[in-house]
Parts: sequence; C-alpha cells; structure tokens
Amino acid sequence: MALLEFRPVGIYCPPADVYIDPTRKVSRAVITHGHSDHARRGMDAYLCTDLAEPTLRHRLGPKVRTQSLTYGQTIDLNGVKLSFHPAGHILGSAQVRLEYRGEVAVITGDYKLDDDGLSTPFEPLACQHFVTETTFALPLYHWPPQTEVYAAINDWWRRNQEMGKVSILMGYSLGKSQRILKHLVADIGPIFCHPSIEAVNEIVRQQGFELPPSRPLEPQLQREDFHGAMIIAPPGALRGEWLDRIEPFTTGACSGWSLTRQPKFAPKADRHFVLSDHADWAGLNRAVQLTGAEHIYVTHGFTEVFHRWLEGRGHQVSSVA
Amino acid sequence: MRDFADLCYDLERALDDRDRHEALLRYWQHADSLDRMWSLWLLLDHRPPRRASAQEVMEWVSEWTGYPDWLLAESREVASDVAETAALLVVGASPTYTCTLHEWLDLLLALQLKDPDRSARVLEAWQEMDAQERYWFNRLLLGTYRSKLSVTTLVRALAAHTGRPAYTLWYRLLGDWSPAETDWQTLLLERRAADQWQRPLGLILPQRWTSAGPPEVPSAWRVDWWRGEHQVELQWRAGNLNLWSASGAWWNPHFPELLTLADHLPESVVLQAELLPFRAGHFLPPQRLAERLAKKPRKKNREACPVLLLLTDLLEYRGEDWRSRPLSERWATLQTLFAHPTLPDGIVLAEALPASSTAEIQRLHREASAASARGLVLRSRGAAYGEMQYYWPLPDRELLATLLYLTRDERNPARFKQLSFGVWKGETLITICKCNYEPEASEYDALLAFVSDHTIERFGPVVSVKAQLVFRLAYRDLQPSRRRKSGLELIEPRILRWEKAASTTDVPQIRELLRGLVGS
Ligand SMILES: [Zn+2]
Ligand SMILES: [Zn+2]
Repeated sequence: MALLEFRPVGIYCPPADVYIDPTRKVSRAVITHGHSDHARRGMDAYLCTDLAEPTLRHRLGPKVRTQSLTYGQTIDLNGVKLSFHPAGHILGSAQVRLEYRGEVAVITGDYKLDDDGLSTPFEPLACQHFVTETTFALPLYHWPPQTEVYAAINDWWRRNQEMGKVSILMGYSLGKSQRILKHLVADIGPIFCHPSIEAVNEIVRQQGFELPPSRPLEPQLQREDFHGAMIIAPPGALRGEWLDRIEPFTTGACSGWSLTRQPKFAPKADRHFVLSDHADWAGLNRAVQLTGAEHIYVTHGFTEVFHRWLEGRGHQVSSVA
Repeated sequence: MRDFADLCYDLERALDDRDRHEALLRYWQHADSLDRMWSLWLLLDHRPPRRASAQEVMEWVSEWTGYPDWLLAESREVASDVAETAALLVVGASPTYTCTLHEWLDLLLALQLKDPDRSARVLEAWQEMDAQERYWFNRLLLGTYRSKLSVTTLVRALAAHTGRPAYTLWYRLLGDWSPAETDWQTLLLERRAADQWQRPLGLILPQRWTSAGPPEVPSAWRVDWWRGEHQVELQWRAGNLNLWSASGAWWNPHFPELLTLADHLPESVVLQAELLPFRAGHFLPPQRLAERLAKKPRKKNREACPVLLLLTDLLEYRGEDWRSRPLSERWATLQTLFAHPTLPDGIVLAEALPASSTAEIQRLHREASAASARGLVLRSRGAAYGEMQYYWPLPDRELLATLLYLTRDERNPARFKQLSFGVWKGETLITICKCNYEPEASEYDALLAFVSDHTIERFGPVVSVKAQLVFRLAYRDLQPSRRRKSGLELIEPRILRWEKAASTTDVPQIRELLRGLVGS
C-alpha cells in the first residue's frame, strides 16, 4: 500500500508527508485525540478536530501551532484527501480517513461504539485499510450497559454518604472524568474535582457542553466542606495531607480493567465500576465488520489475539507497532 | 442470587467490620426467608459438594461460545480463575434477576455427576444470570466458594437484624442444622426453654494495677499469675455445657475436647477459667492458642495446641448467683467442689501464690516471666465478683534498634505507616520487628528528609533506607519463632522515641536478645 507506512515514530502517510499520533518530533502531526500517548509535545505543527483543539492546546501549551478541521471536513495534502470522523472515545476524538488514488485507509486512534452522552458517537467508515486499536481485544471484555453503571455509581455515592464517608472516584483527567461527572446526580451532594480535571471541565463547558456543577479542590477547603461529597481525581493524585483532611473516605475506580477481579487500573480501589472509553470485544469485531476492509492492521493492546482471531475469520491482518 | 452475589462482592471489598455489618443487613432486609437461610449456611463457610471440574466448565464455555481453544486459553490467562473466565465469556445471556439463591442451591444440590444433562442444565442456568452472579454460581459449582466472614461479625449483624440476643444466635447458628430441614423462624426466632440455661453471665476482666509497688496489706489479697488472654465462662446447667469467651463468642465448636468435662463437674455451676496452651507439662507460647482459634476446629489444629483449663472463680452454683459473695467464700466452695483428686487431664484448679508479705509479692512480680506469666493478678479476698481485681503487668522491656525499611499506607501512599527495625547479627543487620508509626508532624518531616537522601531501594510500598537512625522500642515479651529469619518474635513492639543521639553501634546483637529467651 502506498498510502501508509508503519514507522517506529508512528504511522506515516508518504504522499501527504504527515504522521498520525507520532511518538517523536516530526514536522507535521495529525492527532486523533489529546491523550498523552497520542498527542505528544515537540511537533512543529498539529492537525486535530476543532473539538479537540482547546484541550490539546491546554495540554501542550499556548505556543504550539495547531490547525483544526470539523468532523467530515476534507483537506487536500498533495493529492491525499484527509478528514476526521467521530471515534466516540472522548470529546473531539477522531478516526483519520485518508484517500489517495482510489485507496481509502482509516486509522481509528482509540474508539468505542457506545454513545457516552458527551463525545460525538462513533461513525463507521467504509475503507480498504483499517488500522484498529485492540486495548480490550479479548472475548472476556464485554461492557455492561452504561446506564446500569451510572446508577451503581450514584447508589454507591448515596450509600457512602449515609455512612458518613466521602466518595473518591478515580479516572483519567481528560475524557473519563468528564464522562463520570456528566452522569452524576448533582442533587446528592457537592462535587469536587482535582484541579487537573476541573481545568478540562472548564474548557468543555466553554465549548458549550453542559456538565453538572463542580468545584476544584483547593487548599483552603476544610473537612466540613467535604461532608457527603464526591471527589473525582486521577489515580494517585490525592495524597498525604489531602487524604487526612478527607478521611473517612472510600475509593472507586472507573475503567474497563475493572471488569476482572484483578484490575490493572487502580487495583487498590475499594470499589470497581466497569466504564471504558474503548470498544469491547464485540465492539471491535463490529467495527471491523462495518468497514468492510480487506486489510486490518492491529495495534495497541491484545494485538496478537486479535490478529490470530481475525486471520481465522478470513481477514488479511498485520500487527503494527 | 443477584443480591447474594452483590453481598459476596461487598464482603470481599469491605474495609472493616462496619462495612460487613451494613452489607449483611442490606442483604437480609430484602432477601426472602429461604434465601436468608441459605445465605447463613454459605456465610458459615459451608458449601455444596463440587459439581463440575474446571475442565468440564471450560468445555461448556467452549460449547456456548464456539471460540477456539487458543482463544479460551488466552482469556483464562487474563482472568483470575476458571469461575471468572466462564462468568465473563458467557455473554449474550439475558439475565432475569428473578432466580433466587435457594433455587440455585436446589439446582446445584440436585445435579448428579452422572447426569448426562448436566451441561444443559448449567448452560440454561448461566443464561439467566449476569456476570457477577455467574461468577459466584461458578464458584459454588466448582466447589471453590469460601467464606472468610468471622462468625462474630455474622452473629452481631444477625442480632441487629433479628433483635435476638447474640448468645442465643451463637449456639443456634453453630449447632447442627441444615437449611433444607429448618426454617428461619425455628432456627433463630423461636424461643426455647433451653435458652435460659445458655445465657452467659458475662466475664469482668481485671483492671490495670496502677500503683508502682505491691498492695500494702498482702493478706487482704489473693495473688495469681497473670498469664493468658483467653478467659472463658464455663457453664454446666441443666445438662447443657457451654463455653463462652470473654467477648461473648460461643467456643463449644472450638474446644470439643473440653465438652467431655461435663462428667467431672459438680451439678449446676458456672465457672470462670483461663484457657492456656499447654503440652506435656509445659506452657506453649500464648499466640499458639490465638492461631488455633483463627483456624477451623479440626483435629489436626486441636492436636497442635492442646489446652489446659485453669479454674479461677465460681460465679453460679446450684442455680444461685454467687457473684455478690466475697471471693474468699467463692473460692472456698470452688476448692471443696474440686477437691477430689480425680480431676481429668486438662483441668486444674488455680493455686494461689504464697504471698504473705509485700516483699514476697514484689519478688513474684519480678519472677513472673520465669513462670511464663505476664505479671500478677491481684484479687481482693473480700470483694464481690468483678470488683477490686487488678492485673499487674511486668514492666515493658526496651531495646535500641535501627531503622531499615518504611512501609507506605496502601490507601494513602504518600504516608509511611509502618517502620521496620533491625539489630545486629554478626556484621549484618537483621529485621526483628515492624511497628506502627504515628509521629508528630515535625518528626515526620525530619524522617521524610532523611528518607529522600538515604533511600537504597523501593519495592512496591516498601522503601529500604541506609541503616543510620536509631529508635528506642518497647515490647512486652520475646518468643522464639520459626517463621522469622531472626528466629524470634517481639510481642507487642512499639516505638518509644527516635534516639537522635544514638548510632547503630549502640544497637545490640541478636545473641544478646536471644539469651533473654525463656523456655524454647
Ligand atoms: Zn485515548
Ligand atoms: Zn490510547
């Protein structure tokens, strides 16, 4: 295929001379979304969706050169038509579609098929070459309906409150935390967010999305302020003095890893909620099927498993770094 | 079953007894009475016999999913066990949430190993459950279900739920019953004539003797060794023999060997006694009995730690409460009751120590550890039960030791919660104990500064530091220990202070500590 090359630095499109989610400094980077394993510092120029741009600039600093496109908007790079399409992973996350001389490649970045109520829902794209993540490519991973999970989170919060405990939910600051916040029942009690999360919340609100009211964790807050509260924080961010002030508390983790009994994410959390921003096994299979692609490229996660599985189903498959 | 699965999850994740208590009450509040019965049975760590092997379960999963073996194997690698693998792989089921715990148990108990339809029945059952429910069902199916709930916690929650006294629940729960043959009402709520015979009087434990020296009028006091932590109330009333711990736990199941004592007891008595680990004329280290109590009451564990029942008081005699009578009278009667020389092995009458002068009491106190005692018990001869009784512990021993490791608080990783200390063994330092650490803020900051400059290695929550700081520790006693590299265990070690002026050269050799060992 002339359209894509898989280089150690990242996925490269030679005719357009751009890298997708490169890991080291390149001149032109196309970014699927703002997570740190996809959007790294040091690129001369960044191209992303308009919805991802504010958080990207927040993360990488005001001096970076960014250019943005809306979903579906096409630009021409030396004859390559490039466009972004919703990936449903986090707000502004995109699949990258590249079209060149009748060949179409789609790079998913991270994605999920469920509509989380905040990010634009995943849009399946027909293509010949489909580059998919495989974070949860094992048939064990099957997500419960999210409404049940949100209900369980709110019940947990109420119950903790009855027992006089503060609830601390752990999730990544970009994406997961806003999704959690979005579905909390604000009437239950006050909601606090770690400053790294609250900064993103503010950006999201400025972009015109509605989130329940939340307050940043600030040094002047006292024990009484946390009575019956919910705190959202990245794992490991609350420590020492803070936790002393919040005591008694109980912790919860929100992740796809929470599905198994020995979760990789926040294993010490008191309670685990299965809430993932990645596709589960069925989702991955469905996405592959919807593209109708001849050639599947697997990356990021259980690549060997998905490779073997897809091959067994008659697909042409490559594992790429 | 869905609710029971939630309960199991909650119990597994509970941080303390209060969480467990709440979880149990929540479950019983909504469960029907049959389910409550089965839940009690399961929570007491009973389980149905294994109805399927791990291999069979994986075959059924393969049948359900149609996945190739390699994919099932990959999944099995990631999940923690077969029960979980099967629970998570059987997707596409449509949980009904209607099947109850007792229905599942009926199904499991009815499953015959030779039944050719066994797989069909299990697959059908799986279909009605969600993943959490399937997981616990699978553990029952595979015979890997275990309950780690303590009976004390269960009894306490059950007492709160039913309003029945805990002592009644203790012996009814641990008695002989099965959920198939008895119901909630009969097992727990129904009043029985025997209840009154089983009611414990409740022990009153001595208070700490706070004077520096012995009592001034020695003749007014009865003096005994202060040995154990395991005081019991032994009741023999109307043909019922019951053994209650000081905290109100029913210990009959733990000490079946003591139940045969009934033949040797005078009619209708309630006694206070001390349980002591004892074999072939020697006391065993007291923690051996704690270990025995923590295990299942099996013959093997029983034989590893035989006990001696040391009678120390008479609380009730011929249906009459003797607690308000003076100790001298209670004791004289106890002595006549047990005077005959044919007391069986394993039961003895406590012998008062010869303490006719303050000097003698003082000497006994000093020599307590040579007698495997922790100090003396002083009881006023004229006092009613529970009044004017004291324990006079040996003074704590002290030791200089050097800081080797710090352990982080799992829930609050920025804080060090425990410190590990070492003493010399030849040229090297060897760990001897771990103490909780709750210092003043200024000391803690100073320690953090030291740690950041002197960290040698990190492994998980533990940080090892250069051996340089010296602390003064206090401990109650020393015991030989085969489990420990140092060969000894400090009993109740705690930090007295950071000895800023001391250095590692002030820390003793382990030989010097071992020399102080008694017995072994
Ligand atoms: Zn991501
Ligand atoms: Zn990613």
